[in-house]
Amino acid sequence: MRKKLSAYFLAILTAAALFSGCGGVSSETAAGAGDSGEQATKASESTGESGELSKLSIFINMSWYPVDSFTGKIPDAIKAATGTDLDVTIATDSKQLGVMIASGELPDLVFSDTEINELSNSNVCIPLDELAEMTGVSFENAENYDERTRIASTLSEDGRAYTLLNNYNSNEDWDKLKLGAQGQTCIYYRQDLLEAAGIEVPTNLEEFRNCLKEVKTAYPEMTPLGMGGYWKLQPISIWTGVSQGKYDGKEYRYESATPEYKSFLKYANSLYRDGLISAEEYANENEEIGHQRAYNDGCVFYPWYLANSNFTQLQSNAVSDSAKWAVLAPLGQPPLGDGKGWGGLFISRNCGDVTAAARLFAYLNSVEGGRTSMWGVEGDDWMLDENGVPQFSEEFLEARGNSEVWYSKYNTMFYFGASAIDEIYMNYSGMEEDKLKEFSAYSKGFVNYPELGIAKPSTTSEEGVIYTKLEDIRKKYEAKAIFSDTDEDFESACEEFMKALDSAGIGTYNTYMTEQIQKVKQEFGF
Amino acid sequence: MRRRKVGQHKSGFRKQLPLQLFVLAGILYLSVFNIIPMAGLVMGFKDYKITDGWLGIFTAPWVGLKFFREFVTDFQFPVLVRNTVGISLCKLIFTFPLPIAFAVMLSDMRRGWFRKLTQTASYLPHFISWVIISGISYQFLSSSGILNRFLLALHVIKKPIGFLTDAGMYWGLATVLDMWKETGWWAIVFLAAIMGINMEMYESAILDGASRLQRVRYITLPSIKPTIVTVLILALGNLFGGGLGGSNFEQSYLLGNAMNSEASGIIQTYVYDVGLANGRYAYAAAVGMVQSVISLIFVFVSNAAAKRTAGSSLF
Repeated sequence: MRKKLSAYFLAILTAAALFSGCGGVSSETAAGAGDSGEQATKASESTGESGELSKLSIFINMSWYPVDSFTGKIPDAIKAATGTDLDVTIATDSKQLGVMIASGELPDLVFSDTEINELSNSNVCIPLDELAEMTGVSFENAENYDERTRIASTLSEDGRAYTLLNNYNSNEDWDKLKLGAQGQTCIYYRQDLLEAAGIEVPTNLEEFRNCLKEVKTAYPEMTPLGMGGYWKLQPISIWTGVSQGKYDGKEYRYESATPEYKSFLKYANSLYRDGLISAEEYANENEEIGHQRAYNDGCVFYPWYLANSNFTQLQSNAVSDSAKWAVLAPLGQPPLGDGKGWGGLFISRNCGDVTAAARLFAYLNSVEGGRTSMWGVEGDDWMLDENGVPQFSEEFLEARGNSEVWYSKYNTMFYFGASAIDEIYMNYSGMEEDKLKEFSAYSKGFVNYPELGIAKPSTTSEEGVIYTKLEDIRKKYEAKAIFSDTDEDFESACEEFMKALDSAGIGTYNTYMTEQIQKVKQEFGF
Repeated sequence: MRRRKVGQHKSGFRKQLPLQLFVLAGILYLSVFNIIPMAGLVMGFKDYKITDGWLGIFTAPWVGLKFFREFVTDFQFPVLVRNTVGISLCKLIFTFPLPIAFAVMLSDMRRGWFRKLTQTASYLPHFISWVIISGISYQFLSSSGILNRFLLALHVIKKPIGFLTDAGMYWGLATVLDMWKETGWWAIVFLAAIMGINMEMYESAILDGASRLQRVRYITLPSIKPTIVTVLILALGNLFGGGLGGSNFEQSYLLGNAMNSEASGIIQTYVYDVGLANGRYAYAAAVGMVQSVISLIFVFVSNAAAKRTAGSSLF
């Protein structure tokens, strides 16, 4: 009898264990890495009436996010202004959000720079006009509201705006920029190592190649030009004119089919054949490995994103006490901007407290909210000078120089509605003059064509599918061409590259983009 | 023929009830996670959008073979199929016989601590995830890794070998890692089959003057033939998934990169990138289905061939 009971118990336990992984909507834990079957948090507690904070769950679709909690001076200020707290979940990989959308298991809020077309759908998220009607909250105080709403409406099939993309400024705003530079890629370098070896800082691409050769001779244990993760050789691609070559104001060309692109490939190939770049570092997709090499004297030049925070990270994490990083002045043509904004905050259909969500959305997208999320508390952390540029407190500037303190004490990562210029001033205002000059050099010649970004097709449309294929082809053949060992291999790789682009429909894509850009220009009055 | 009475049948089932409950748990699991989700395969024939939710799988409009046509005309199709089949066949050719040979060798070892230690050490890698193995591979095989430094120090090579970046090396790398990881684990199955062979046959063979190799050839291998055939059919059925190790996707995803993509890109990584990264679930379902149909054909063909040639089959 005992044996039978044990057997029954074990059988039931086995069945329970087999099905224990079945998803629960009320689960408090976040979805795991790469496990697309699990679902995100839906922990929404609305307690606004009693004066307590309303708590909303948010999924931030960026696995690189340096913070995972809504804590710090800036989040506290946002909580005080909106009465809303956030329960944060960060994506563990880029594939999670799609599964969450498909399964209908989204939390209250989503912040994402990808799958924006999918999120801009009435089955998934609440459009802003409906949100305003439901809650009585107006969003018209948002900075550049009209343009941003029109841009957002191009992201959905029904023509309604479901978000307002952050990091957007009009060309009129850019004309008034007083310091710093637009977000773009750059190269940082070890000034101390060049000085010690008596090597001059290059001022153009030819000098750069020669400089790398000298670096290789002086420091044979180090890779002259390190790489890691996403950025790879992007600065060089821009400086050889690839970015400029794709649009001349009238006609659009996918950048890999431009003559400037072949020049870039040839230049990069020459760097490889001279032993100045490493195929293995190029292949590495993990940005942190690249950063670690840079911190640990693994390279002399290092491509990354132009930002004071990245610069301070290199400097503060360097293992050598004598390490002195600097920003290399642009060695060629400036980039061509296609900024229509970057990421958007969406309120999902599952949101448990839409009023709190609308309040938070309106605040973060307002001028006041955008500035608070980037600059901290007015009067305490910053004051505007006569030029409209914020002047930061000593405490703020000191924290800015230490990424650990910066994120834990201030936490500027909830910039869901802030403009690009807010971010630039946050990064650069109060910086030492000589450093500021290095960064500001990157703003020369920068032109923004928002119509390029707005005209991009949605990922699931026919043209969007062609674009995805073109990008796949570019990733595959770019590596093959750059790391060719002979001229014949290089030419053969380039020829295969062009044939593959043709077969994928590059002509169709170029025609579509050219037409769409003209339509957008007319509609928006650019 | 003796017929059972209804009462007798019932009491037989009741006696087996706890065991039947175990089987029921397994059947339920298969039904919920393997059989019922097969209804979703219809997605491959529909213009499904993730914003329609899971019901959209059934309500989306039909597009017929549109995605299948798109896949076979994709510029990557020949390379993906070549890599998938090539890597799978390499693994089958090298990783299938190795556990058999290893099990035969183990069975011939004297029982003792050394045999136990060897067996345990051989199957431990099976429990290490591919994520850890890819990290270990990087430490050992990168251009500044232990192996390259060793070879450079001995002046065997003049410059580092690109184990992780050379497309020509990828198939060999994937096969060798799979062999290292799975040999010990699958040897357990063959070892168990060898343990079941009647020892008197070996004793008679020894008396007749048969050498060790002759005993293996004429007694051991024929005796475990049904096990070999069964495992072979299972391996062929999962050929495109990586055979015995089921490791194709993990290896290609973790060890694949821009430099070796020409050799490491397989149908499964394509489905993952296209389907999940770009939200084209319907297209990914269609592509995955192509691979599944080919695998199914392999299972039936190999089963029939095994029945005809070896007299033994899975079903």
